Amino acid sequence: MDIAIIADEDTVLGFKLAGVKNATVYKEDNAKEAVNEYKNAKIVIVTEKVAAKLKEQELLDNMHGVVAEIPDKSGSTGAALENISTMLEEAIGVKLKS
Amino acid sequence: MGKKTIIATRMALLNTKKKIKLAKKGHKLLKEKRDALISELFSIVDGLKKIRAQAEDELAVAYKSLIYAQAVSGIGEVRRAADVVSGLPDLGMKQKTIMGLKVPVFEWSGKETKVSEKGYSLVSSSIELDEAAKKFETVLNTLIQIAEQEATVKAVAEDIKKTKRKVNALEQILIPRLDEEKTYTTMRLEEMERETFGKLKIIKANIAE
Repeated sequence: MDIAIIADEDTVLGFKLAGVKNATVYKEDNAKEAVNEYKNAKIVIVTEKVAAKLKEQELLDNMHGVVAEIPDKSGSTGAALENISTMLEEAIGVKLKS
Repeated sequence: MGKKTIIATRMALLNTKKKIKLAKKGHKLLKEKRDALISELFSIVDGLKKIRAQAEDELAVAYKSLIYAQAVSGIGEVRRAADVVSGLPDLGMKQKTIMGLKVPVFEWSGKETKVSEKGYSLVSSSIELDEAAKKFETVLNTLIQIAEQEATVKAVAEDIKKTKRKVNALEQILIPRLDEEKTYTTMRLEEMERETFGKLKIIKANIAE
């Protein structure tokens, strides 16, 4: 399993068209199973909103691969850049200017 | 200085001096490593920001074309097509080293499937559908680069934290402790010397009597 996606319906549909086979539409009740299923994927694509919800349930920490956050069709919430900024701040004490 | 007893001998002094030299050398090296990693991190983050903006633009276009495809072909048709699309090629994974730190590198041939190899029926699908699929493929290619760089940033940031801790431990704890040990030993040895000198004087005086 190389690339997987957990996202809202439209995003999943789009990436399915691109050929991503391991696709799950995010719902409240299937989050845990989806994360478990894609634990060993090399790249897991999630939308920022889904990522925020998964983080609330502390599910993203179990991922072995890289989690790539993307904006959904309503545009970016800036969460992904925020993550990098926090990482930078922790490491060198400098904030990323936006 | 803790409860460690210091043995004040010349040998111990030599050993401490050697330790201090080593610690200082290590400290200098680690500091250099930290600085190099920080500059590396900055250049990666710059690239990442650019490529992220690019991906967001591409994604916006892709979403739009998906909506067109749904409007032209119907939602059901798009969904059916999505289910039968041919899968992705394998994603190779290698490792690169930055300052002795292992970071992942993805080997991706870049997916650009011809419409005829897509897997869904050409007769019932529309141009818009093909277009949408192509746009999402482009996004996917960019996303893989992003994933690679984000993983690198994460690894480098972690390592900077670790290196910083090491540098601080050496600077704030180990080196001062060793310095203190050295001073103590030197003083003790001098004191012993003076003591012996005094003793010798007394003995000499005793003999002369």
